[in-house]
Amino acid sequence: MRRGNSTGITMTSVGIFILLYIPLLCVAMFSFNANKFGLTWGGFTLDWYIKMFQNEVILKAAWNTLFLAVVSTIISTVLGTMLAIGMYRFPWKKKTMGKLDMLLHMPVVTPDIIFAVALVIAFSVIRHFTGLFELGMPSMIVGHVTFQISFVALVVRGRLELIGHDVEEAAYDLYADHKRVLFKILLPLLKPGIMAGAMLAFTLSLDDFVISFFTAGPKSTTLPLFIYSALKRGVTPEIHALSTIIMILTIVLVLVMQKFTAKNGGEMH
Amino acid sequence: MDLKVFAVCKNYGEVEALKYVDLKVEKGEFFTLLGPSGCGKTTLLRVIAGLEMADAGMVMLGGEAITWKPANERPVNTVFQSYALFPHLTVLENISFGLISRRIPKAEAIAKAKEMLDLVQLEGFGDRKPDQMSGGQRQRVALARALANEPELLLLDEPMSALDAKLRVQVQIELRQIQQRLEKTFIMVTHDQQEALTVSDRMAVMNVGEIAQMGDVRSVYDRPKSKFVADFLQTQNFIDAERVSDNRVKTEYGEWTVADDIPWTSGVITVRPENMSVTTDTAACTFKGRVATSLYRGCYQELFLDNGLQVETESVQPFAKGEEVMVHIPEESVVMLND
Repeated sequence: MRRGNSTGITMTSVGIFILLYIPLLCVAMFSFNANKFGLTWGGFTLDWYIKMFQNEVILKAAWNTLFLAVVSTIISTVLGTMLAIGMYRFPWKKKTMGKLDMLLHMPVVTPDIIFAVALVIAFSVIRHFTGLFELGMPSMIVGHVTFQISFVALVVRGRLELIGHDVEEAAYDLYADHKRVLFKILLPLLKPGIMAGAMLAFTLSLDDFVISFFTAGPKSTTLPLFIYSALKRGVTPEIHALSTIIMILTIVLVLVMQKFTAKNGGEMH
Repeated sequence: MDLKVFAVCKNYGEVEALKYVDLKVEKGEFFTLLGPSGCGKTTLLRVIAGLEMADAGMVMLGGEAITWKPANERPVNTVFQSYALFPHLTVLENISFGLISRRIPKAEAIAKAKEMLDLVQLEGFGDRKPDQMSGGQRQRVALARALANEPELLLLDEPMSALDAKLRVQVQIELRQIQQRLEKTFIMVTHDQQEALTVSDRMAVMNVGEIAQMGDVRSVYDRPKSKFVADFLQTQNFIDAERVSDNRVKTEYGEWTVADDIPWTSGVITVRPENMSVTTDTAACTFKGRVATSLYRGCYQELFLDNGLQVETESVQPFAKGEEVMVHIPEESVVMLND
């Protein structure tokens, strides 16, 4: 009876995983398919990858994506870490803390589309008065940073809670000034959390379509935007190849992040 | 250096953690703050350490007011309850942390740290990380880390709460020996009365933000002044009494002669079970009772009598349930409570 039950559960979870990964596997498979239009297998080829790497537009979009992800991740990691430390270390009243907490979670739960529209409106208002924030790379970076900050701050704060106040107090008790506490105690202990937060922010930026779509200018097309516009002209195996590479990159990032998170828990007991 | 605390108050919102606490600790003394959880003992320790600032009052160390000095400017170090070792640093780096904070040359700091490792008998453990050590070893590192700075005053916040009973006794003895060897002022916080008695010269029993009684450990243990202190120090037997004459009280168990002055016309007296004894001498009999339960404790027996009193006897022969015993109470072991 119990055995039958557990087989059922195993089968179901296998089924769910198949459902989850079949589309991705199909894309990966088609990227190696020599047959350009058909859904039939025409033999193994790396042509689409070679073609992809010769395509100027794709390379430009890849560069934009990477540049946007790296710059926005650096900015949001620094700001998010500062925000987390400020929120956790300052003796806020309980009520204020609750409200701040809600504010921090808002960008995480707000639908991307609403966030994107809000950004467009905010940018146009600022542009109207100052002439700044012409849509393009700078506005995209700001847009990405705004939603990344919350994720970084949440991850870093989790780590802070794990560390607790004790070690910091011990450092002050041992005559350390603020600078020494920050650089010798707090930041080294926070490092796994900061790395995990940065990794998460990077992945989010890499995959983002909605915010990029609304805040991009004519010259700042990213890979997700390129794929979207290319799809309108029909799916080509080049896009399969591109998607496969992005997919692999994301998986690697997630694995690296997991490693950091695992280390996170192990070290502090 | 000697420590003086004057009328220190500390509130957390509505909660009054400390209410006008006064305290004086002499140089070279081992002083203990004893009390149940939530009595304010840890808050008082944190105020002395500078980890919390007093809302009112004054803290003076060796004649200098340190009330508003931050923790990193006080010549005071703390052994934390959780030890709070830096997990990413080695044991030597942990111990030399305070010295390097004060810009003592690295070689000198390391030499001092090694000397401290010897003091706490952890030679050769310098390159380990804290998570590669046992609880008892970590506790020693925390102690060495604090002592390396040669503080005027060492604070210990429940330093033995994470150790098992056997190790605790051993560490208590070592702690006392180290304190006597270094002749430093130690202030410890604990809720364990046995620990307080073992290590300290003097102690203060705290209750809801106030010091209920302070003094030499023997005097506090032998002569608790209030019901709270007596109960916390487990005197067990509380008896209503009325004053009959200068040295006689009347209780429901009969009229007893006492040694102390009787401060009231009717009040409560207390007698420790270990101060009573079972006797066969009718002349020495203070009262009689019947055994309800007897517990064998190896070198002594605890008797719970049907009249509600608790007696300890060194006699190891078993008592039958319902057996009548005569109990002797020495006059000087009867303690008058003031509330």
